[in-house]
Amino acid sequence: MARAETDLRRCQASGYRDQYGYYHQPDCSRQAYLLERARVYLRECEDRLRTAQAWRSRIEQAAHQFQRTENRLNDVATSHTERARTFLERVGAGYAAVQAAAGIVGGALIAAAVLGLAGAAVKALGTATGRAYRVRGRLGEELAQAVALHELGLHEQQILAQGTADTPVLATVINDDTGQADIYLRLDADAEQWTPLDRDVPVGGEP
Amino acid sequence: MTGVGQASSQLRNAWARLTDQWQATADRWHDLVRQRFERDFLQEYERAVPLAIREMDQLADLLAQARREVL
Repeated sequence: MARAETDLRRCQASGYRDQYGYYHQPDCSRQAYLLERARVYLRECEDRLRTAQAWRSRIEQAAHQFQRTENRLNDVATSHTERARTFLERVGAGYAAVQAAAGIVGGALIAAAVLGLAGAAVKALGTATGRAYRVRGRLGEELAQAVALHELGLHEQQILAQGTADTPVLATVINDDTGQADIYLRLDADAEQWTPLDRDVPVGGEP
Repeated sequence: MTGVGQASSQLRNAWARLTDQWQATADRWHDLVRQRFERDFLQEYERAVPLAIREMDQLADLLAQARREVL
């Protein structure tokens, strides 16, 4: 733009007077055209700059709004996923312990409960009561009271399985009044809480 | 496709794989521990990931529109 203006001024100043005193004006139409074209181009650039600035503001605003979602996603991808992984590892270890305990009570019975077929497991109880009572005796009444009466609020319990070092991992609590059973899992020896696996499962046999 | 668009596509694929895997797992895991996992963990993914995909898609669209108008 500045160059075009300079060229036009230089052209316009290049006029001269001849020997008779007549002034000869130079033809600066090309310089004038180039200057006008530069002005048009400058206006286009200014328009595009304004458009770019408007988009920049809009995108910055959108990016700022996305920041919250990004932070949450980042938290989910890191710490939340780590907690989920830890939970699944604990659950997996608990299930493995239950399966390991299956040898004590009877593989079919416990494996069925682990796979979520607790109802079938309890229905099979009628034919496994001998084993169940035998295991119950090894666990002791103190644990049974803590689980069934204080924590679960039910009565008449049978402990079906125990893990290593006499740590129970799976418990079935039978309510004689309703004829139904709840099945609970303790994920590891240090866990204080029993996790319910299934509730109000009809008992298919005599306890 | 923009970087945001690519990231969104990757996240969408990963989310689809996760939901497929979870469905396969849930078909065989029926106890209350599964419900607890769904409640305590999976639901957070279900809230966060599709929202992020949606917003990333919107951002990608916005960037594409800006490119068309500015460049």
